[in-house]
Amino acid sequence: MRTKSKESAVGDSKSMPVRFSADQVQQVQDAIRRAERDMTDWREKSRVDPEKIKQPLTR
Amino acid sequence: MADYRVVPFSADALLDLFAELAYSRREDVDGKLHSTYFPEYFKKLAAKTIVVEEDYVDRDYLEDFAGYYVRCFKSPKSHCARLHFFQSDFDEGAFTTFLEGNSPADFRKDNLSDDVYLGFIVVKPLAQTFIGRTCLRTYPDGATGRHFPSLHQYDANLFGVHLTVNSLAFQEQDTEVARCATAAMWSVLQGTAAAFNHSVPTPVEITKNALAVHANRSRTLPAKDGLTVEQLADAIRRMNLEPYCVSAADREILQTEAYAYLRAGIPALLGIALVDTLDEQGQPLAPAALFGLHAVALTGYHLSNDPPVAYGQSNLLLRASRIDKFYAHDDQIGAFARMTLSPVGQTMQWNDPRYGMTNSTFLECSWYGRSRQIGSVKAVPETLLVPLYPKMRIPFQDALGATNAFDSAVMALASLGHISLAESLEWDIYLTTAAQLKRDFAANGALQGGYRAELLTASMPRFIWRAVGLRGGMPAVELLFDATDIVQGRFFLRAIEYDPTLLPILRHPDAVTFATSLVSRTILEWFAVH
Repeated sequence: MRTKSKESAVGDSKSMPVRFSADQVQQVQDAIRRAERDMTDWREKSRVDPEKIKQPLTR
Repeated sequence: MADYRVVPFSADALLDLFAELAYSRREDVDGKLHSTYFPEYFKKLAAKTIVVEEDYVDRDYLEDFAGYYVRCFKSPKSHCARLHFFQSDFDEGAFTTFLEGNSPADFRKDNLSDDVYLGFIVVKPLAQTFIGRTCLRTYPDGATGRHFPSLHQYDANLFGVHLTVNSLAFQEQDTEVARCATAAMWSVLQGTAAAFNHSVPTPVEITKNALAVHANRSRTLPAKDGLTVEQLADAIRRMNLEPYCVSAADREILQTEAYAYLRAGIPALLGIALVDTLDEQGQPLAPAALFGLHAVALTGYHLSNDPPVAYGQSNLLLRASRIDKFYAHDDQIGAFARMTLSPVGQTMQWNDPRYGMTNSTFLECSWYGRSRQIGSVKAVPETLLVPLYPKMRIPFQDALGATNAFDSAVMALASLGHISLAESLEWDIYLTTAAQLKRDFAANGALQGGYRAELLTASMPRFIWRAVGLRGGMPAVELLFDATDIVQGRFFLRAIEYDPTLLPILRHPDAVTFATSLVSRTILEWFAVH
């Protein structure tokens, strides 16, 4: 039986700010962008060297 | 009547059996690293007794025999022998009495049960390369920090006694139809066969599949030229699977990508450069030098109790960064061989003839080179290759990227005082299946009531990326991603909140404005409407 579950999953929202300031939005967005740059770096470092995959593994 | 013997376990007894059953000489057997590794392994597992099944038909060897050896003028035997290892202590007389049906009622339970069975080694009648299909119990896992998620049950029938062992099959290359890469891929496919329900090709089939598209300049068999990662990827495609290949030179990438698939029971093939560090006199080689290129199958890992290492500018904490050892099927060493990661920040300088002087993360292993001192050769990880089910379209990196973006938003909001979080979440990111996920939910006491029922009855794709945010070692929130979605799709499925007081701020009507990309928007929109 499917049961409404929002109440159990969502906490008290009384302490929420009325609005986020532009500076707060900027700070959060900057943090997300840092994460995105990290992932760009990860993808670059994990790219396979096309020469290495052509070298025979003989040991 | 089939011949058998029962032999008390000792290192000498084992090596004598190898020499005799492989038609080899004891000095040749002693020269192999297996002869150091396996006796030590069985000692640690407290082996007491070996039962020798002297005439055993092994499917993998039989296929190799039919595909290659049978046409030799002096062909080796087509049958093998098989050694069974037990922790129980019994002799040949007692075993014969058991076979004749005259044993005490509890003989089988005490001496021939799965509780005391350590597994088997098939001994091929090949004097130099005789370690055939080998299925052995691992060292204790779980609380020890060792994890072997790719194990599955192997059955053995010993004269009517049904025995089982949880393992992942291992064998050494025979250098004729299989090289190191073939042996490693054969072990990897043992794991994917259980995960994706396909048959396992024999070594000779893997070699032929690998060379079907990009053939070597020289002949296919004997496989003297080895195989490349590119050719192994072809062998994977011939199995109707998809090869996922990444560079493993970076410590975090090796730990995290290998863990993400291993945790789901999918072993990974690791291409490594073996680097010799000592000269013939045992003095340090300056600089250390390439000893050869090799492949192993990663079959397990060890998680240390050290805190996770923060990644990048976002300081993402990944559980996989706790890995300090891998366990690998190295066909020249043995099954579940330990490979210890160099400490964080420690690299080895060596002269790579392909690229010049190089500083590399490395793994301590049991190889030796010029000095013949075990451990003098280090393994530099180069390439990770994982066979995947074709409809697993979303790679690990996409799930990692989405998780990192979410974590960064959460931590930024925590620093602004909108989320009560004293320390960063530690993320455990790995592949799973809907079936496994629901088994985990069903067993999780933290999920209760309608929320639990909703999760257990929700329709979910077969393969799922699961990112669990841990606080003090306990799940606080998790993100689920559809691993079968199309790459341009919104592959975020849903979040699960173990602590309903943690993230209400994400339901603020303006929280979606934090999004900087489709993936972060998708997650924040989900929170906005749920």
